[in-house]
Amino acid sequence: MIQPQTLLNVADNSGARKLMCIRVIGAAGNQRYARIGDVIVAVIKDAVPQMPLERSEVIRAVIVQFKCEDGIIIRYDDNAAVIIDQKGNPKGTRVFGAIAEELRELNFTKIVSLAPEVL
Amino acid sequence: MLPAVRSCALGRWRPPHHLLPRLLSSSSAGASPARPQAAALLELPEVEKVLRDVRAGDVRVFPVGEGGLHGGACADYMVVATGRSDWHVRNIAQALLYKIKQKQKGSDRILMPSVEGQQAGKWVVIDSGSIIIHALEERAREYYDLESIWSKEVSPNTSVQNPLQELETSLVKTRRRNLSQKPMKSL
Repeated sequence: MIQPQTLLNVADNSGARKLMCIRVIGAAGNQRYARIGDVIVAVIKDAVPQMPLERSEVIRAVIVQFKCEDGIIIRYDDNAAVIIDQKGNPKGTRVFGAIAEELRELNFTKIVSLAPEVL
Repeated sequence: MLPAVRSCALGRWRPPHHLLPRLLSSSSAGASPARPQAAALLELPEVEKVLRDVRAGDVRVFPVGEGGLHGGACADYMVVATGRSDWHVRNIAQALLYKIKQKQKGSDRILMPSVEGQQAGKWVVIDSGSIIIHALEERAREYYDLESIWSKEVSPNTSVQNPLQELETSLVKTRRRNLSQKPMKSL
């Protein structure tokens, strides 16, 4: 259940550490919350120093780890996202942690192929 | 521990109807070589031939099947190719899609793979089930460095060293300089 104001971790090496969701893309009417594979607009709340991404930058991110159980294989311990750009290319070059296989069906094969483990 | 988790999770989890063919094909790929040929959209030699025809540079094939990276859950082969420009990368993808279409010409319905990044042209991924083809522009290929993920020798070094360096830089505390013009208050 990720909605505006939710804080998320970052699961890649792009340089950001904490994100805050400010908008769920495609949220209207029936579907108001984001889950695995949804794109959100987020603000960087905390960033690693001397990296291209900085605090208070507005970016897009895909949710890859999700605390609630919603019919997907795994339930994770935290909410985490991977930063992407407008075209869908990931900003970082590596993704950390196990990634659910459903992301491949949701057309995020790039993120899946950067991950160390796919479940 | 992770394989155990995976198996038990897979045991509990029932795939939706549309997921079934791919899941079955990816899990049985290594175990049974007598896979039905109709399931595979593209064969590896065909991919290589098409890539040679469109002059894609630096083609490399990584077997990531059973026991390899991703635990064999993802695909059997990863193919990486470089294009000289965005146009070239897009044309590589177009050529592969054309080949798939030509192959299934007689059949009643045509199965197409999922294509990602066609508009941007920096990194196009064609996901045809057991073979995943990545076409990257030269700079994107350097940036993402996909080879080091899939070749096992390099990956431990990169995954260990970089976080350590990050840790060192992030843990160093720098005292803020006092830039104020005001004179110090005497206590």
